[in-house]
Amino acid sequence: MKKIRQTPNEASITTVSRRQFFKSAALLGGSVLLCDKLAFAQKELDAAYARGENPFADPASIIHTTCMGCHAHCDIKAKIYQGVLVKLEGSPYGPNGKLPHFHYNTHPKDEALYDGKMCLKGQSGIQVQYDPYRITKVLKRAGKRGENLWKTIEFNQAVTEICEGGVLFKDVPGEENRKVEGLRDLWALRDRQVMEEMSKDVMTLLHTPQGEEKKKAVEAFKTKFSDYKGKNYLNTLIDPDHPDFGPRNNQFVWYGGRVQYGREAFYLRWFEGGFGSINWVNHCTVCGGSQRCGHAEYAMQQNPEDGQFRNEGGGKYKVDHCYFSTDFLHTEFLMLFGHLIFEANYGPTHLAERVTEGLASGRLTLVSVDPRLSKTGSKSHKWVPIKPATDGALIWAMIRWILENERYDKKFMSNANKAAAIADKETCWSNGNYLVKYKDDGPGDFLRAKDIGAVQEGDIAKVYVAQDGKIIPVIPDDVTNAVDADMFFQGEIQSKDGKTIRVKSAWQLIKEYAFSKTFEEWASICGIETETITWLAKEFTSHGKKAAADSHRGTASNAWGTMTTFSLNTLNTLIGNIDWKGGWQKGGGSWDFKGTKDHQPYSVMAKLHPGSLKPFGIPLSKQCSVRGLGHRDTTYENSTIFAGYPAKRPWYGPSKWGVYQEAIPAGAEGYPYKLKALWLACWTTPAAANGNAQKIIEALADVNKMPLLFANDIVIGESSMYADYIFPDVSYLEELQTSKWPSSNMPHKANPLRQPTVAPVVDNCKVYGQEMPISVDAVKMAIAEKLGLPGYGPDGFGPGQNFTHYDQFYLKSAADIGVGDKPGDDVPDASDEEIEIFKKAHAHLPKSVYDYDRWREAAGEQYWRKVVTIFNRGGRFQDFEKGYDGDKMGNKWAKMVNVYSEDCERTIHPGTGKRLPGIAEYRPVMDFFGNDLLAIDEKAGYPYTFITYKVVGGANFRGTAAYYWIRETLPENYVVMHIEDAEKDGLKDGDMVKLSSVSNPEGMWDLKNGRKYPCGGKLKTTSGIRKGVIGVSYHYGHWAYGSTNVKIDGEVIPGDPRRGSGINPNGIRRMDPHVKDVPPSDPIGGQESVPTKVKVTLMTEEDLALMHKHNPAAFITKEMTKTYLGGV
Amino acid sequence: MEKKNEIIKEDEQSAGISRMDFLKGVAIAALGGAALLTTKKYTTSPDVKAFEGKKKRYGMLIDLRKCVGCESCTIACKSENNVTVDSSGMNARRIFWNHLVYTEEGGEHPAIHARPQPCNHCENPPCIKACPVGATYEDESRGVVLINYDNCIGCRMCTVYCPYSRRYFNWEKPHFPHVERLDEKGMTASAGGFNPSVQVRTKGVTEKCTFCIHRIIAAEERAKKEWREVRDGEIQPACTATCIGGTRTFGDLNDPGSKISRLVKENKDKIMRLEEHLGTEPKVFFIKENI
Repeated sequence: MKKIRQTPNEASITTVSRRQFFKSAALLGGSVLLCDKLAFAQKELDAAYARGENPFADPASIIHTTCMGCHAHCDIKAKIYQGVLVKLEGSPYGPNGKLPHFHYNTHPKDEALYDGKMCLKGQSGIQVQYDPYRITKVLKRAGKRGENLWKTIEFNQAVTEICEGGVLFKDVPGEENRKVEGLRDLWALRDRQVMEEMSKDVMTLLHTPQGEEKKKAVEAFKTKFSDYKGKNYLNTLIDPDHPDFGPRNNQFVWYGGRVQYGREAFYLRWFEGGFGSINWVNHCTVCGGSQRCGHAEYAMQQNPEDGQFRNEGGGKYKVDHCYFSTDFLHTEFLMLFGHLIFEANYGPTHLAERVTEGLASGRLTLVSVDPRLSKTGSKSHKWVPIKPATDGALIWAMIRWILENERYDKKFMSNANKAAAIADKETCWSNGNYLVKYKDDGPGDFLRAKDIGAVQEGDIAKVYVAQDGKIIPVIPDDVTNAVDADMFFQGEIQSKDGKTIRVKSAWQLIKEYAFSKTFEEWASICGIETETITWLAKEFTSHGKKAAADSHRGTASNAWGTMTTFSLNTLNTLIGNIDWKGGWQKGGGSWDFKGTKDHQPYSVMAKLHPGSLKPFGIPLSKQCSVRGLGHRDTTYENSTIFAGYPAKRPWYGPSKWGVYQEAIPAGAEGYPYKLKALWLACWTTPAAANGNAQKIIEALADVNKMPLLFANDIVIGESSMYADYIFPDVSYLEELQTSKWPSSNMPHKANPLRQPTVAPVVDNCKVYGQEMPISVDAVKMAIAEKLGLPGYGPDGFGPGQNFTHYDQFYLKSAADIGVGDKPGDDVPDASDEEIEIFKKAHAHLPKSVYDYDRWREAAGEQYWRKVVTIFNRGGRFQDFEKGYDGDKMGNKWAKMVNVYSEDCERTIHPGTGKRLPGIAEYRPVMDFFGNDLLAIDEKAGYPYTFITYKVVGGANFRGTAAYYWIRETLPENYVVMHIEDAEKDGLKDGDMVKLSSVSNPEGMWDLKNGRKYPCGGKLKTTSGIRKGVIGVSYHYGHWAYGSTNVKIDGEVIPGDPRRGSGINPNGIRRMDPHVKDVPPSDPIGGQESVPTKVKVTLMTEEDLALMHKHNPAAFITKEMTKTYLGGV
Repeated sequence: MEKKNEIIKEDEQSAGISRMDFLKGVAIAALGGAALLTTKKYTTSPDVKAFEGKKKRYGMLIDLRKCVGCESCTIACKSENNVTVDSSGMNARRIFWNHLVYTEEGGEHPAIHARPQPCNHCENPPCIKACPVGATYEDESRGVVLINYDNCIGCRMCTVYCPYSRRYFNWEKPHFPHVERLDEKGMTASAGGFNPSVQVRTKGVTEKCTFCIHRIIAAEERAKKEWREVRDGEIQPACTATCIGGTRTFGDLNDPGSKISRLVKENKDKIMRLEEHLGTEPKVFFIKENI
């Protein structure tokens, strides 16, 4: 085959017709409802200006809400004129929108005069709101999955078909007789009491030893529930021989994308509490799952009742924290590990100024550790181009240097409990001095009272430390008896039965591991010169508490992500920077928005959910517990399908959120059980975003693997195009939800609020007799009404409290926020003037989304004025000064931090059968069998390591496609390669290249609808990437989302190929050699691994022909963007 | 940061009561800063002419040390000013009133430098001399260079004369994918997403940055209504308000007490303007990066 070099010529480009209007009323572009509203508005406005008035200085023309260009929750304001959204601005009320932000008690009249900060994605929100490709009606598949043939149907018909099932696709060839099981069939176990009883018995069964005993327990379970209270409940189970799979309810699986916290709470109440399924799967493990898990290990606390260390959302001693970050405003030395603070993260908007101020004033030395030179890296004092996925080795090199040179904070290290910390004017202490028992296969649990003697009352919380060589007990949370301890200790102690127990302090283990390799060996693993590492370690320990090593997803996006992030926390612990200004912070946090505090009026998730169900069983993604870190329930070893190692498919660490890449392939394969109905909610798109996107497409396209598949989307997206039904959703500028702070890099406490700014463009539906816009919330309500789920409809929140419109949920939640976390912590009541402003600002909204009386009634008369205060400001925000307290942070962690994790050390790897370490050791990217995958693939002839990243214009919810303004600045992305690598391979800028890997040697995307084309695009060479690394950014290469033609009700809706330019590189990502349909994944946090060994080859004529035929959008941009760094 | 706080304190003292009247509790103090504080408040009917006639020379300072190259300003400007979306696919036809110019360094120590570039609103604007019909003019009371779109004949002389390439010609009818719809008669109509404060240009006219003149006027009108002068920091063009790096300062160069005048003076060793040798006297100043 002849290889040709081609930058596509003009003739081959599909011409974009300038105006691709369409008439279908199923999409916004075809609707006539909104037309020419503005012409009228313009006249009014001109007249206003003529009178010397500026309508936008009037607070009644502004609605404060929260952005969703990314997940940062920036407070924004929408300027409304004559009911039309005309401009979005940042809001100075929120800590994201202004530095420092306005006092909360600032009157909206004064605030209206000022606009805050907003990034380019936020500014483009208006293009999401009025995107012509937005769906306005319910679509039902009229062809094969993925064929993009649709018909519009009534909302009620769609809900009925989904709930009742039947032969739903008679007209589709091949599906004439396919009977679909509806949700009513799957809602098998409905009795709360029976579910609780079964759940308890299954928990006992799980903790029964394998073998005969377990078999007996299964039989006992079957006997009990074959005749329980006069009824046979075994038919409610997926498989009575495996009660641990749980009820058939679990075969309904929920997949979530940009769900955010208020909707998440409502979802959980509906999906778990109402439907009773355990398979709530959020997108975390392709996002920040392992990063959060690494922080959660660092944050575990002791439950004094049983002495165990946990990080869990429930219970009396709940600790629910999984995120730490830097105080960017005061830090002096900041090391960023794959952390794009100016481009991605939880929004560059608030981080940028905190850092640029330091760069301009000279306060801050900034270091960027990243294989690629990002905009952030370019602004840094030093760029450290590390080998991909070896951050752990660099961290351990630094730990070694710091220990060797004794540059750690000795005072901080000596503290073994809270009292000792307080005595040293610290707020926190580490668990590193606690003594760890040795097991046959290495370090195990902490030494406890039961190991060395009878347990008296009060001994349960004891752990042990060495003090001047003598082993003594210590209670971590003790505030009266300060205990200082030896940091490094190893020794022996007699057990109660006279055996010798070897013990070492955790710091001793850390030291031994750090010294298990020479400084040079660590340096060579990560590919960084020793001088650089010495400089880094020296600088890091030269600013007292005002230094930090911070990461975002970068360190965690590999098969050992939890541990890498945990090791980063170990590094920070060495300088004891937690809670210090300029150091490491837990973040401002949020006020309780679920009303779990006793004095709060609305416990929306618990007390106000009559008849709620509590799901149980092994989740499809097989995480070991849904209760939190420190629990081990549904492990492989506990299950009734344990069959030695390696397990048939991966099992994972504890998580509430599921494993995003695993649940669909597992449900398709039927391990442990089959998936029967899948809801792709909140624009989630596993078929594009996942490493195993290609495998997900194959599963979604197969009606036998995914019998019922429905989605909510704002545009027909990459994943929703495979659905049987697509419900439209409201945009983030039309929805209502309360929320909380997503990250910890903001020192101020806040609850951002999202509220409708304009009338939704989607059609209305009627549920419980109320009009509401078709949206995820409306679908929840409608299914609840149809099936009769507990806790919805009249008296849904309890006697006299109706739950007939979704906004009632969020208004109750807003009232909880207004009341605050403790008595007296409430927001001020809105004045009459503010009430008037609120009424005027909301007057243009239709009753379907806003009704003054309905809202007031839902919030409760006595809380209503507080709610208005919150709505007038777009949330609740702590005042700026409260973020700091002298030389410490204002919102403190004030607890133990961990460098040793019993949770990790107790985890048995399901592939190798070996225990994991308790300290944050380094590992390369490993497959299920523990092999170094990158090394193996390199030998197989794939020389380059592929990485990916976000660009500043890239959004969540794939909105990038609709960002026409941003696409002018960043029209497409490229396969980015070091200039010398390209020269070596004879490649140059603009060449059309294809990527391929061991898992996809052909380098092809196959969309399973006839479209099959190479995974690749234009090459861009640069010096701003490490040699041997290939980078391709996210966000581009859309094959749906308005980029290609679809047919609705027989009418062809032309796609706009500009929306599909660039590359989605996920097609060539490495799959695990054992299961072959998920990427190698972190056994703890579940994160899928990004680094993949690839080949870069020029596209052949055949490749180019396929590209022109099936992905012409790749050629739509005629010229290349001049600089790679400036763009993608 | 410490330094910044000191400045704030000083200003707060000098601000006295008048400021507290203005923004009770907007303790933001800080930013809008200094200038907010020196506001004079009229107690009797103002002599409108007294400050209407007073010449302003609005200018902008861009601190490149703080620019992160995110293009938020670029997009804010497009949204604020209803700037068309290019549909030709040709880079040269894209319109950015405010654009980031990148310079990239390769080799051993690669780097990228971004420089936002709005219209310089020159003291001696070559574009005005080039315009044969007087469509381009200087708003003399403010020092802002503007275009009367109704008078523009589309000869493109000004685009050639501008040494900074800050003027853009509309080769095609403006295109706004997010607001264009067909109405019942099959004609194009708009639904929303336009800023009604800014006129949409037609095919065949030249356009450019106006320093968000509509925001300037709105602030002036507001001040008049409240019988006071415009406060320093009160006028924020869209790019300035939105800048996430805190890069930009906008204000009156004729007022020695304004934040921009003060910063230009304080940083005089680090200040540059573009193509100064041409004698155009740009009113956009840059603080150079620390290199």
